Amino acid sequence: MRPLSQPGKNRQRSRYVLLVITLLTITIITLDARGVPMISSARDSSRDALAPVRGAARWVTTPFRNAWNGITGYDELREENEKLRSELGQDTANAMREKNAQEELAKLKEQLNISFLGSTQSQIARVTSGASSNFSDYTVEIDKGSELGLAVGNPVVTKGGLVGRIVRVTKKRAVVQLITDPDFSVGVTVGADQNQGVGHGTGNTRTFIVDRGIDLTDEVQTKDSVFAGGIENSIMPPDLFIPIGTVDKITPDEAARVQVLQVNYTVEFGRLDVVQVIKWVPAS
Amino acid sequence: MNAESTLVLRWSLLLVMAYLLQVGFLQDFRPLGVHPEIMLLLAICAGILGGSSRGAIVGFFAGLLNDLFLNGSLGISALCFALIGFAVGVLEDSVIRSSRLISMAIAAVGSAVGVLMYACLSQLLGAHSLSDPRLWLIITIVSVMNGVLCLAALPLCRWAEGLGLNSRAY
Repeated sequence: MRPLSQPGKNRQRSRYVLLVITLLTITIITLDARGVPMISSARDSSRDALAPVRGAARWVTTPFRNAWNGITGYDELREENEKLRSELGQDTANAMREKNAQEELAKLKEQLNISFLGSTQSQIARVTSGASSNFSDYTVEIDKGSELGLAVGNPVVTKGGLVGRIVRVTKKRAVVQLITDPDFSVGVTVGADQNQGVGHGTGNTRTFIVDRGIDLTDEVQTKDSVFAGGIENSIMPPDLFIPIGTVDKITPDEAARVQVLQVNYTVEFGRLDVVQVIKWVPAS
Repeated sequence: MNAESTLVLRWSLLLVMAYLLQVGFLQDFRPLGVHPEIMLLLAICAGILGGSSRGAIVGFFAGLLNDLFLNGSLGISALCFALIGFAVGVLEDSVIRSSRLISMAIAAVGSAVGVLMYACLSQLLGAHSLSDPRLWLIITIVSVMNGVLCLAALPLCRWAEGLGLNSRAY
């Protein structure tokens, strides 16, 4: 057992160790915040190197995780089972044909046949992990990276609409900032008149807020569609109209002389699995 | 192999195993949406068993590993965990009589302070952690879970520290 009190020399050493570690961490934090390439490339390389290890660890623990999810999500699981059972009859014939991985992939691609993308170059990716932190960091990680041409700034979408944009990319992985992040601001076009405004996430997975640019005189109605893109010099492609959601509530803000729109997302953020990354980067 | 190298090797092994457990399993083990922070727990256990220096060093490396799989700024966890590991070591020195219960209490309180410190530092660097509406829930759950998990972590840390797995102390 450790002695109850340390000699003075040891205490002095402890303080010295703490000082060195504190200075070291402050240096790392500062260098990372300033985007020093050496730190970010070291971090990216470590992430790439650890990715298969993390994957293997997750694979090994799958039965335990499934058991835990079964316990904690019992009601949801039962509901899903009932739904699946009702669908099973219809899907049996299809399931028989979809035995091998190639057909499964084709099915995924079919699901991702996104009409609003047109002929724009894109890359299919799978969400490998959601929030790693206990605190909401509004990011997800996807399993494709710069070796397939992905870059920081690429918009990420599903059939439902805009999911977010890539904020960090390594060779094999990328981190996507979700549109639900309160710091995610994007230019939007609203309704048939294509009124232009600026909106942002609110921190929850249901509501997006457009609180700039829609004047009191602009004609906007509930159920109007809200799109990202269609605007020059935006962080989204100017030639694409990517759905965000539909207007749920309109509140006039007399002081700012604008209408504040509460928008319901069309993407189900709780069920993100396969996404498409649009290979387009903003000009600046 | 000398004693110092064995110590480094054992702690490194324990850190890697804990990291794999955290990212492979505990990340999805979320009672009320909150997962335990066993990297922070390791720093605390190192402080309890090895003193302030060991707590700070183990906390630094545990935090750095933790930062690698988070999307926030690199180094925040490293700083928080090192400070907590050090503080726990200092606190443990002032405890006259150690017991399992006291170690659990230290782990719980240390975890709560560690999470709060992480939230404060992250907020300073632009995250929304301190203003997260679930902040107190996260602190409470992590604190309780780490307090309980401390019973399993302490024997492993005793092994890493070279004190033997089966000692009854704490």
